[in-house]
Amino acid sequence: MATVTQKQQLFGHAASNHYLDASRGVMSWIFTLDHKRIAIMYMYGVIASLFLAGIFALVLRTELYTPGPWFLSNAVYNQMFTLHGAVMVFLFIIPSVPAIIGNFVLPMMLGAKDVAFPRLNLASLWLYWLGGIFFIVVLSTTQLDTGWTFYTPYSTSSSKTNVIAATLGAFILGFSSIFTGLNFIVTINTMRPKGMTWFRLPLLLWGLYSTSIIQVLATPVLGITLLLLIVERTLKLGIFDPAYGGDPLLYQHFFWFYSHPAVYIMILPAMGVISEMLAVHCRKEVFGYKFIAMSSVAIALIGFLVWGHHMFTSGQSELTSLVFSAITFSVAVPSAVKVFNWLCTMYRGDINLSTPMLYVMSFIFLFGIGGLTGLWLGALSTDIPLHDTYFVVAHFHYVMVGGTMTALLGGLFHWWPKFSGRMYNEPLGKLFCFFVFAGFNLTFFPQFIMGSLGMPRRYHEYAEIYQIYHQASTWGAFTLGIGIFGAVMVLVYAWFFGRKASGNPWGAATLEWQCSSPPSFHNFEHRVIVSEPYDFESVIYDESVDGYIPVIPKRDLAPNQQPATATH
Amino acid sequence: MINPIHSLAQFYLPPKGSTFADVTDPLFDAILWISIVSFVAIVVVMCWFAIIYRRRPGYKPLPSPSHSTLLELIWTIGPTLILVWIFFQGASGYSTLRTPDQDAELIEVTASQFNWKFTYPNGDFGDTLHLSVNQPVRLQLVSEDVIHSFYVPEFRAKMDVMPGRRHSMWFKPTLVGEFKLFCTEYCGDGHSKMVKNVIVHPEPWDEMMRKYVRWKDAENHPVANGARLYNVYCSGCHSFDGSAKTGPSFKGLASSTNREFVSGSPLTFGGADSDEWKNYVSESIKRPDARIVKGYANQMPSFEGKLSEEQLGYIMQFLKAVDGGTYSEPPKPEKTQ
Repeated sequence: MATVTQKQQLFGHAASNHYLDASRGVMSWIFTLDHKRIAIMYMYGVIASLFLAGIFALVLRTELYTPGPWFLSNAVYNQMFTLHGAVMVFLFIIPSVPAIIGNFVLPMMLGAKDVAFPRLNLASLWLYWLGGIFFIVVLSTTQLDTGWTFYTPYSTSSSKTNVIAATLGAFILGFSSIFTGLNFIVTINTMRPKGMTWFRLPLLLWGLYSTSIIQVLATPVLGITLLLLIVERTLKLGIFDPAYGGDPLLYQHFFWFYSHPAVYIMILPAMGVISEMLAVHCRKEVFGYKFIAMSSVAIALIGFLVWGHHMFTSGQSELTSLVFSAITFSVAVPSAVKVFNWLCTMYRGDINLSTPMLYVMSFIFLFGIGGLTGLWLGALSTDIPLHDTYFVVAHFHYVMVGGTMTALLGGLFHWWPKFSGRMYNEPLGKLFCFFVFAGFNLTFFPQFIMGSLGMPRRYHEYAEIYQIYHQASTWGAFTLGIGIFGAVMVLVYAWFFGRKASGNPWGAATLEWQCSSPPSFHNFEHRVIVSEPYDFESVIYDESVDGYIPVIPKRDLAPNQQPATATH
Repeated sequence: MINPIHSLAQFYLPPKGSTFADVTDPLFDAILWISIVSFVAIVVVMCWFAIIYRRRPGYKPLPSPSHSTLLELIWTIGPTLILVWIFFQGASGYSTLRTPDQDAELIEVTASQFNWKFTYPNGDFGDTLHLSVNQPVRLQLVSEDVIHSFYVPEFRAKMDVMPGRRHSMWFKPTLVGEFKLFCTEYCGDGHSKMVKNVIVHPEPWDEMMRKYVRWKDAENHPVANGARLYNVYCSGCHSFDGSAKTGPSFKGLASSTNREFVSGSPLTFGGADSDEWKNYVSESIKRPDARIVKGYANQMPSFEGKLSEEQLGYIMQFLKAVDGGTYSEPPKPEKTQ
C-alpha cells in the first residue's frame, strides 16, 4: 500500500505544477490552448455579463415599483429591457454552462488531455470576448430598442436605432457558439479512451452532446436570419417588411426556429449538471441512466419542431397551431420523467446536504414550476389570454433563471475545488443559496398572478391594480441580487483563501475527480482507468488526504494455494 | 363537483367578460389542479427523502435498484395521458375561439403607433370601442406600421395586428362595463400607452349605435370635431396638458411665437391666426420629417392623404382650444334649418 506521502501527492491538493501556474503572464492566458484556462476566461465574461444584465434588471424593477414613469422615460425603459434581455440571452445564458463547466470538465470527464480542436476553442473564446464587447458597446451607445427578439418590421423600418450593428454583434456571438458545439461533438466522438463506451459517459456529457447538436444545426439559421434582417434594413429587399412585399411572420418563423431550440441549449446542459451533482451528493447511481441520457437527445431533436408555439396569436393557420401544440406537449414527457428519475435517485441515498445539493433541490423546485406553467401556454385555448403577458415572462424566467442559473451556481460550487483547488465556506454557501431561492420566488411568482390577471409584458406604465405584484417582484429582485452577489463572493473568497481541497473531496466516481485539485496542465499524470461513472464503491474516504481515493482491488499475482488434487 | 378554488379565481383571473371565459377558465383551473397536485407531491417527496436519507453518523443506506422498467413505464404513460387530455381540451376550446358567430357585427380596427381607430358599419369612427352586451362582434384588424396586438383581458381575446395582412377575430361580450384594451406586441416608445377604453353598453346593438356611434361634423362644434380627430390620430404621441410623450405636447403651441428645430433655422409666428403658423402645422402633419422639433426624434408617420383640408382646420381649432393645457367640451351648435 502507498505511503501517506505518496497518497497526498497523488490524491491530495496540488500545491504547484498545476494548470494555474504552469506558465505565467497575461500572454500565457490570452494565447493559451488549455481548455481549463479557456473555461476560466469564459467564466469572467459570463459572470460579468450576469452582473451587468442583472443591474439592468434591477433598474427595470425599481422603475416598475410605481405604475407611472418614475426616473426613466419610455424610450430609456425600452432600451433597458432590450439590454437586459439581449445581454442575458446572448452573453450569459447561452454560453453559461457549456462554456464554463463544459469546457473545464468535458475533456477530463472523458479522460482526455484537451478538446479535439484546442485552437478552435481559443477562437471561440476570442469571438465571445470580442463579440461581447462589441455587442455591449453597440447596445449601450446606440440605444437599441427592439427587444432581444428584433421583431420585424419594427426592427427593419420603424426603429431609429442602430439595429445593424447590434445584429452583427449577435451574429459574431453565434459563431462562438457554433465553434464550441462543433468542438464538443468531435471531442466526444473521437477522444474517448479505451473502455469509455457511450453508455459509460457521465450524464453531463450526454447533455452537452445534445446541446452541441442544436448549436451546430440551429445557430446558422439565426445567423442567416440576422443577415437577411440587415439586408432588409439597408437594401429594402422585401423579405420581412410588408411595405416592400415581405412578410413579418416569415421573420418570426426563422427567428424561433433558432430561438426555441436555444431554450434547450440553455436547459439541457443544466439538466446534465443536476444529474452529476445529484448522483455525487446522494452517493447513488442516477436512477434510469439510459432514460435520462436518451431523453436529452430526444428533447434536442423534438425541440426543433415546436417553434410555432411562440406564434399562437400571430395569425398562423389553425392547423399549424394544432400541430405545434401537439408536438409541444410531446416534449413535456421526457422532461417530466427526468424529474421523477431524479427523485428516485434520492431514494435510499446517502444524501449530503451540501451547497450544491441545495442548489439541486431548488432546481427541481423551480424547474417544476417552470415546467408545469408551460402546460397553460402549450394548451391552445389557455395560451390565448396568457400570450405576451407577465405569465410568459415568469414562465421563462423560472425555466432559464430558476433552471439554468441555479444549475450554473450549484455547478460552480460543486466543481470549485477542481477549478481553484480550494473549498468554499459551506455555511455561507448555503445562506446565499437560500437568498437566491427565496429572492427568485418572490421576484417571479407574483408575475404569474399579474400575468393571468392581464398585465402585458414590456410595459413601462401599467394600471394600478397590478402595483402590489410589481412591488413584491421588485423586493424579490433585490433579494435575488444579494443572493447571487453573495454566492459569487463566497466563491471569490474561496479562490484565494479557501481551505485546500483534495483531488476528490466529494467522493465522486467520474474521471475529472481522479485529477489533482487543481488539475495539472495535462490533466492526467497517468493512463486513466475507466469504470462506471456512478460506481461509488470505487472510491473510499481517506483521512490523510481529507478526501476520497480509489479503491485498489485486491489482486494476487499468483495463486498461493495449491489446487486440490483430484481424488477419484 | 363544486370547484373550491373557483371562488378564488377573482384573485388570479380577470372578471368573465365574454363567452370565451367559459371556454378558457375551466381548463385554466383544471391545469391549476393538476399542477398543484403534482408539484406538491414532487416537493414533499423530495424534502422527505432529503430528511430521512440525509448523511448522518450511524446512518447506513440500504441498497436500492438503479432502474425499474415498470416504474419508468408508469410515469411515462401516466403523464402522457394527462397531457393528451390537456391538448384536446385546449384544441377544442381554440376552435371555439377562432370560429366566428354568424350574426357578428363587423368593426374595422386600424392600429398605428400608438393609436387605435375603430370604424363602425355606419362609417363613423372613434378611439373608443363601443359594444353592446351579448352582441357578437367580428373585428377586422390591420396595422399601418409595425405589429401590434389586440388584447382585452376580460374577454380572454387576443390577436396580433399585422401590417400587410388582414386578421380577424371575434368575441361576444357578456358583461356590461368599461374595460381596457391593451396592445400586447411591443411596438415602440409609446407601447405601454397604447391603451384604450372598451365600453360594453346594456342597450341592444342598434340603439347603442344610435346613441354612441353617430357623428356628423356639421352637427358639432369645430373644436369637438378636432378633439375627435386628435383622439384617434394624435393622442398616442402628443399630450395637450404638457406631459411627456413620444412627441412634443400641444400645450402652448398655438400661442408660441417661435419654434426651434433639430436642424435648420427656427421659425417665428405671428400667433395661431397667422399664415406662418397654419402652414407650419399643416406641414408637420403632412410631411413630419421636414422639420423635427428640438429634443425629439424623427418618428412621426405622414398623414398626407389621410386627413382632408377641412379636418386639418378642425385640428387647428382644437390646438387653439387646448393651448392652455385643458380641454372643455364646447357646446353643440344650434341646429340650422
